[in-house]
Amino acid sequence: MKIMKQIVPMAMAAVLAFGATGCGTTASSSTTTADGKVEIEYWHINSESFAGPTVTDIVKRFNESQDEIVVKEKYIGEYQSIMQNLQADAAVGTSPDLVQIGWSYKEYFGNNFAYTDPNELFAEYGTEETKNFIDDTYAESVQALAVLDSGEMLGMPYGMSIPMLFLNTDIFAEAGIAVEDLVTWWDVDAAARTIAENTDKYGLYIGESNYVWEMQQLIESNGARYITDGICSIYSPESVEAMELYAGLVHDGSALHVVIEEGRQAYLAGEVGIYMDSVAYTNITTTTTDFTEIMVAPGWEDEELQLPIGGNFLAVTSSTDEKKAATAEFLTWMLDAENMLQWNGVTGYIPPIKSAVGSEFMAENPVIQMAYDNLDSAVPWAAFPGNNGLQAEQILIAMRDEILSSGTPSEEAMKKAQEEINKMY
Amino acid sequence: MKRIELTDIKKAYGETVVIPKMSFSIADGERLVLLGPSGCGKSTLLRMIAGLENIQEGVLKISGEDVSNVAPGQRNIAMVFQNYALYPHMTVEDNITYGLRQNKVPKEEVEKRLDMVLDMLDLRVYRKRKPKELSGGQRQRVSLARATVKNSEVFLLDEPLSNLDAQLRVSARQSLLDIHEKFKQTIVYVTHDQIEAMTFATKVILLNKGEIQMYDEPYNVYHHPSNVFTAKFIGSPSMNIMEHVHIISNFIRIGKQRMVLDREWRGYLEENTNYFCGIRPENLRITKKKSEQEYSQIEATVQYIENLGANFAVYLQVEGSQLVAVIKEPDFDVNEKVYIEFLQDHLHFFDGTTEKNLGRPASLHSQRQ
Amino acid sequence: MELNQREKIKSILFLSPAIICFVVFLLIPMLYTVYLSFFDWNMIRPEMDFVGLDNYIKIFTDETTYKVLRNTFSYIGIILITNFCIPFVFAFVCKFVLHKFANFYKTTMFMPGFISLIVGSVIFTWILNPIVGPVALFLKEFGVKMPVWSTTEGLVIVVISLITSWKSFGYNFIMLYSAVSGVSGEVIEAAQLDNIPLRKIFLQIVAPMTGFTSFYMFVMTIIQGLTYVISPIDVLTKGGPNYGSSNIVYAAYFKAFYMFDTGGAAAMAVITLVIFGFGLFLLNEVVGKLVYYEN
Repeated sequence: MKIMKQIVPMAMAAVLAFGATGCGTTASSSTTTADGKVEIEYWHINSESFAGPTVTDIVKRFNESQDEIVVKEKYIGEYQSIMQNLQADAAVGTSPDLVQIGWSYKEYFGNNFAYTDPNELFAEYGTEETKNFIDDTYAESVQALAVLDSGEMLGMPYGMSIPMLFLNTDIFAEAGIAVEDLVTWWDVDAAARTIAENTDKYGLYIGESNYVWEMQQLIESNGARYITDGICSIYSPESVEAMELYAGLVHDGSALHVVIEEGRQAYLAGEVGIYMDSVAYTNITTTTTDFTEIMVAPGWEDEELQLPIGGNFLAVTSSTDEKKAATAEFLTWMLDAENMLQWNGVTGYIPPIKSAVGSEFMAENPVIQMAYDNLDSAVPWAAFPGNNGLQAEQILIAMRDEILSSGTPSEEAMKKAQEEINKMY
Repeated sequence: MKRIELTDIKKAYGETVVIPKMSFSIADGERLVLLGPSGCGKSTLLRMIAGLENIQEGVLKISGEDVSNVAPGQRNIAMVFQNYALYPHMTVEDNITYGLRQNKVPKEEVEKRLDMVLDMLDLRVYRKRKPKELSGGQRQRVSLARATVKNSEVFLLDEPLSNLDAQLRVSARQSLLDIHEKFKQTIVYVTHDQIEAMTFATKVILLNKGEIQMYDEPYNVYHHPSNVFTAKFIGSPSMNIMEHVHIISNFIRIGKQRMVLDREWRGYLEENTNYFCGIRPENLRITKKKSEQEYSQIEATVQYIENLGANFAVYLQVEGSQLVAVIKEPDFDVNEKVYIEFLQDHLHFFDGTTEKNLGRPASLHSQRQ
Repeated sequence: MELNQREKIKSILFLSPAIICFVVFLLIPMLYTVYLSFFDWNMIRPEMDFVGLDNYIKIFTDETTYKVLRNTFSYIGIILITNFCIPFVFAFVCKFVLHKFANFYKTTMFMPGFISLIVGSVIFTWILNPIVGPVALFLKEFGVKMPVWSTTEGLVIVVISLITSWKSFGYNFIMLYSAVSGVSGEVIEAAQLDNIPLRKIFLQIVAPMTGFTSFYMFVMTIIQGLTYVISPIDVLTKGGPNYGSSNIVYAAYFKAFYMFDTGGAAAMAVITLVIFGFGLFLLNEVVGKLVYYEN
């Protein structure tokens, strides 16, 4: 028994020791379930409050509609989190099958991850009916959004959004302004000042996310361009003018300068007159408030309106033939009008598919229709090329905060940012 | 002059009343020892004088001023704690001078007092050491030094010697006496050790359950205890107390046995009443042979004999109770029958109900005034 | 087997889980990080380009690095006050002044520590919303307009540090309370009799006597603080405005997981390690020697 007293703890220690080394084995990636079905994984950004249940429903119905494929859907987080998780998985050699990639990561994704060009996917694994699925489903202009400079198609446009203005009609009434008065950014400027003067509310809040999307609309609509011929061209009289309008409103207190979560909460609580955010935000505003009216974000006088496309595209990252085929089939289900529009209805994203045009859905969703009508002015989300693209975006965000928080003149800050970005290329 | 005066002091912790109502005063320069068993309230009293416990009812005056609500630091009192309470992160000399420096005593004065106390308590060698590098006795001296250096009029000590071994205690007591010689503070000293109390004190207050049993000089406390409690507490081995003792026709009746009452005692006490009778062990005599005088002795059986070194303690069985005698040399053995004589000059009688000492006739040893 | 040998094997076996965890989760990643700092890589590209000291040069020539470094010291300063000094004083007060409420405070202060930092950060985004949050509305009642701290440099560091306080305060308070409890009441009484004011008792007697524990808490507060602060920064400002709320630890994290610049992040991490290692060494030399070890 004395021996036992010694052996047992020693054995436990040994087990723990080996257990510790053992932990960290990669998760097994079984390609088939117990009953021989192919299992594929779908990653998305649809949280509980942002169409999560809808995705679950679409996937469930697909799984029930046939018995060869089982789709596992996973809510990962924001587009940022999806990139991080893709990265982490790639480091150990695994990957999901279908992923929503945010448009701003187009370049980075294309340069660093393995994917299948959708055209090739359907050519190889599609059925008779779906061999030309891409051309059948998407208009040329929409397809172009997901095409790299080299001609390769990264994926299938799925969520599309453009910047909109959400207006608090109660505040407008109190300030004595009409919604129709807002035609250009100059009008927005005047309206914001009026609101700030006549009421105790804020006139304007432009969403300040960790992206440059909102600023892009403001600046490029005035004729400036983030990127020209592959280098940063943000420093120009037009962009300075646009930025100064915005900065001016912030500095005299008519516009709000806070982080995006705080700004959104402020608008929903009825403290902000005009709020710029994605059309995907429509449902949340219309269900939470009763004072909201929506219009497309305006342009300036004379210059061409530029509406950067936000949202995501679906990328096929499967590694085996079996999974690619399964994914192709799942995609036909996802992009089928009924399922697609179900998702659009809840998210507020603009349907990318041809079959949506003129449908009942559009009639029932006037805001989306309004956004859709403006797709002529749609432009890709500005993405700086190569490995430094993400860094470049950060420089622009820092520039925005420098102008708005520290009060550095736009001229100075923008010049500096352009120099810094171009130094990297 | 009265240095410390307590009037109608009461202290209770919630429901438990520790000190119901106490009043006494201490003269200037006195070495007063608060003595008593655990829980008698002696430490509480000391801490109330120090200001470390608040006084619920009653008035405390020091040097004539009412300090009942004055903060301890403002009472100009020095205190030595049982566990020394030295600042462990300071050197010996920093420990001693910390209070002085913080109270803006001029540097030369601080130096002077430090020097004096280092020499007086033999600490010069240790002045740069930290408490953890010192022995118990050395730490105790540092604690004393720290208190002495304050030059306060009142000096409180809470069982300062209990953590020292017997030999150290003697030398520590000597140091204390030296300090008192020199500075003549009013010392209030708490202990449960009666030897310490008797040797050190000029006055003793014996406490039991928050009440004063006796307040007198050590000689009287020993030789003329005011009640049964005091009689039993002081002296080791304790005084023999016999219950239900009667005086009948000038005989002392102890159980079934009788002893003739000495002439001096006759007529002093009432007959046919219940008394406690006390006699110290050293005032008993034992003989093997029965005396020729009738009724001058009591029969007893020897239970056991203890060797105390200088004497022997003999435990005797008498009438179902136990008596202890202290004698030089026993010439008998255990279980033998012997005969005990009382030195009636040293008898004490206590009232059967109040337990108070009924005193002695004038011709016998009386209280020292 | 000889008895000594058997004892040795036993002790190695018992130590092995801890040693293996240390090596696998701390030592190897640390060494690998140093290795990675000399490459340009994003963790998935098959080729890793060796660039020597380029990553380090880039960091040292970037002016935002110095801003981030300054911020780090600001964070440390504020976190030390809110998560070390204040709990320390509070522990002292609870122990020696307010005895009755000590247990109540110990429980209530510790409970917020159970809530995850992310959840807490999200909650605080709402509570501290400068326009419509409860605090803002409360201040409005008194005619005070709450500053927009999330985009104000300087203030953003203070508020983010405060957000982590509710997580650290309880634990630090309890640790310091137990340290303070170790100080014998008699020593305090001795000081009281010497007419030492409470404030000096705390600074000159109690604080030094808690020696080792305080030193440990001091260091832990800094390290823990900078780690905790990453969550609210990530949830709220992502390092903004204009790197105003970023510090070297967050900057390394951001470089790795937002910019996917593994080499740069590794270099940042190595620099952080060197700075803090040196700082700890200095601290130990200067203060460590004075520290009083209770036993």
